[in-house]
Amino acid sequence: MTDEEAPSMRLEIGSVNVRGLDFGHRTELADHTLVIDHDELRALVLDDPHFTDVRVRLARPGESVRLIHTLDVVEPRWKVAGPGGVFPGFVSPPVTVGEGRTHRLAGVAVVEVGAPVPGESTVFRDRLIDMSGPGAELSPFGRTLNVVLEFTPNLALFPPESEVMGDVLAGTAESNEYVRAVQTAGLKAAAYLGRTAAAVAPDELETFELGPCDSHLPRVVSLHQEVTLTPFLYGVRVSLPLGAMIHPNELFDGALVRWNRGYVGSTYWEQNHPIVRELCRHHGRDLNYLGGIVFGGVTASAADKEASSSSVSKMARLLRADAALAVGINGSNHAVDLMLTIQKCERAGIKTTVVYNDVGDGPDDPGFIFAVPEADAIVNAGCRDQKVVLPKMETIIGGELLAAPALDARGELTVPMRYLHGAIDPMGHSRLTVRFE
Amino acid sequence: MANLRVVHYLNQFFAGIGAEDKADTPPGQRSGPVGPGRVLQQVLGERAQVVATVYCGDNHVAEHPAALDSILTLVAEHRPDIVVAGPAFSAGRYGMACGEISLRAGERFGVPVVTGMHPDNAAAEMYRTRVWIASTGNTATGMAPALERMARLALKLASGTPLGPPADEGYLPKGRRVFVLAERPAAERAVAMLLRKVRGEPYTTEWPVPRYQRVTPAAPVRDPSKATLALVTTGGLVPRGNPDRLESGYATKWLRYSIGGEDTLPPERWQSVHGGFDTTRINEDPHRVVPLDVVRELEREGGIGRLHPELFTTTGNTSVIPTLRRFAQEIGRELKAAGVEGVILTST
Repeated sequence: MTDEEAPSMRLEIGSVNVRGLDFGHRTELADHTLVIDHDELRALVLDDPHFTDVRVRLARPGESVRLIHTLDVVEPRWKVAGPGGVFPGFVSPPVTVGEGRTHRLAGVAVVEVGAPVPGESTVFRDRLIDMSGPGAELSPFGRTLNVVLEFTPNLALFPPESEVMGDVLAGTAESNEYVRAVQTAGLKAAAYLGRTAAAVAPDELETFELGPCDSHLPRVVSLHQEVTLTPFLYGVRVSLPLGAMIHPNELFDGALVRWNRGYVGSTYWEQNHPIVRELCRHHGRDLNYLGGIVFGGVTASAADKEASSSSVSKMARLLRADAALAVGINGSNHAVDLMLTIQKCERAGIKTTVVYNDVGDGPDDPGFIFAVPEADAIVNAGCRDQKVVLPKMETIIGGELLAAPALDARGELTVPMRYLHGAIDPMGHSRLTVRFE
Repeated sequence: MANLRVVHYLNQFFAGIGAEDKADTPPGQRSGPVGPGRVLQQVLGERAQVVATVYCGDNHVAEHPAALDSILTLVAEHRPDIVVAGPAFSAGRYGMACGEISLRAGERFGVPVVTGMHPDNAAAEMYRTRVWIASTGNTATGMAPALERMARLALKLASGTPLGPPADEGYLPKGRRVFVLAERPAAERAVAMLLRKVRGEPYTTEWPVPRYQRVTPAAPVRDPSKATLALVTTGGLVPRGNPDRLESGYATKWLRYSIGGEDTLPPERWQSVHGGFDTTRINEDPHRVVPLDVVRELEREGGIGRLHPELFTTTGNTSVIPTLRRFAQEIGRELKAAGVEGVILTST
């Protein structure tokens, strides 16, 4: 079957611009203000034995509020027409999504907040959001209307000794189950709120479709590296060292949900993936966007890294890609997987560009854990270790101390940029960059 | 600003003493500019005067550590306002001498110091973060433009004028990070860069990949049966409960623990807190990352002389390179002072 004969997936994204956020008697969208029935939303989340309580709080841009222990951030969306629903595998059946029409509450975010539970890994866990001051300018979630879910865990599910971690990175089975419950609750809330836009005429409508195009245009694939702590694809949490194909429209419907830890990314940016959207907008104009390959996982050995990079570059070749745009995760062993993938793509004649965070500190540190000479087209998406001074906020949501190290969040706080949720995610929304002099 | 005093350093070849056969020439000096120094004087113009030229043979300076002190003493005699070294182009030994003299002259005299070399010169990577290095061509055919660039940098530094970005001013990046907002988001820049690359149009990376410093491995231990060995790990192995709070990532410290009387590392007493891999297997049997059990066997069998009684440990996970380099130097000094001749370094 040729490109021309293949039926293409077509998705309309209707954006409803939301300018106000309040509690009220009924959850609805009234004149661009999202009104939330507090008790109904609370009851929806509490319908899960993992929680003994949840506080629903609102945090708006300009308020003197700091959210700590923030986990995933999700944008409210609702499937208006077409197969399946939003967040397949969590709140709708795990069938292929990305067709029909989806409405989104533009400017609203659901933010999950919770201190670590016993046995939960605190590696790379600390992320925070300031609703005013310099932190709000740097983090995109300081500029969204945030519906904050603050969870109280049911500690009966964590028997004595269950806090003992065999694996410091992954945490215990009990804690992982709990984190999944938190993630599910955030997605349920996002769908519940998104539903208010079901019958509302959107302010903007954009159509995403990788239709047939001029065969002379360069064929481009996007490569999406995920952190070791694997994401959920259609609700399935599976390590993806060998890669999996994804259509951009699936991301927009929430098929890829980010494991809510690791300093990098959130479900919000998968739903609104700036690089994917940019490639879609160029499709048919000056490039032929073929789709994405999601990859990454625990590659503990050199052999795993060979297998992973070989498989991902092979998939790009199978797609007859001329070029690959990679969203890379610098630091730790992901850096090796990414660089080997770039090398193998380039050696197969596939031109690469990478969006990448600087992880260095000090003039002697080049900011790369590992690099190959073939990585000669890098977009610097900001430095994880840039120090940021955040002034005192009047209200702290989520606790008082950060997890590790236990910095006091109540006063002025100096933290590396990686602590600011979403400030420099390599999905490409930010203008923050580093110039080396 | 009248007549700044410039002292110029050259090797024996450019000072007109002779070629490779004169590379053992000890430090010396001439009054006023010599050889390329005359061009330097021209491009400096009236604002600065080359008052003296100090020289030394490339081999001499490489083989006699005291030569550097002699060179700096000669430079000091002329009370410089500016020191210029080279340019060394791609020459290895000359580049190292220019780098080291520039570094020390800057520290000692507190005046602007500028050298010049090709970016691929090994000395460039060694010194560029600490010394102003003008980017030059490969060979002496590029002498005039190199000196012009060096003179411009030196005069600018002497006048206290802030320098612009490396590409505009012609010096090698010193590694200083300037945090800025780009005109467009990363997504737009990335797609534009990819399109240029795939079309065969010129493109510029925002961030060149590094040339890594290579560490020359030490010679093999001559006679292990008489040697003291030590166990060092970046696998985050600590006493259970992690009493000294070693970090799981972004380590800020290394630790040492006595293993003097121990034959084994039982899992009830030791654990890994490394946050970059699945630690389950190590926490079942810590010898999987620190092989104390087999090293003790070797010690008893006479395969090695003796095991150093302390385990050195840290977490090698997402740490920045200067921190890890410091850990390595600090641990290395301790080991050397303790007479350790070999190390089994287990990473993860």
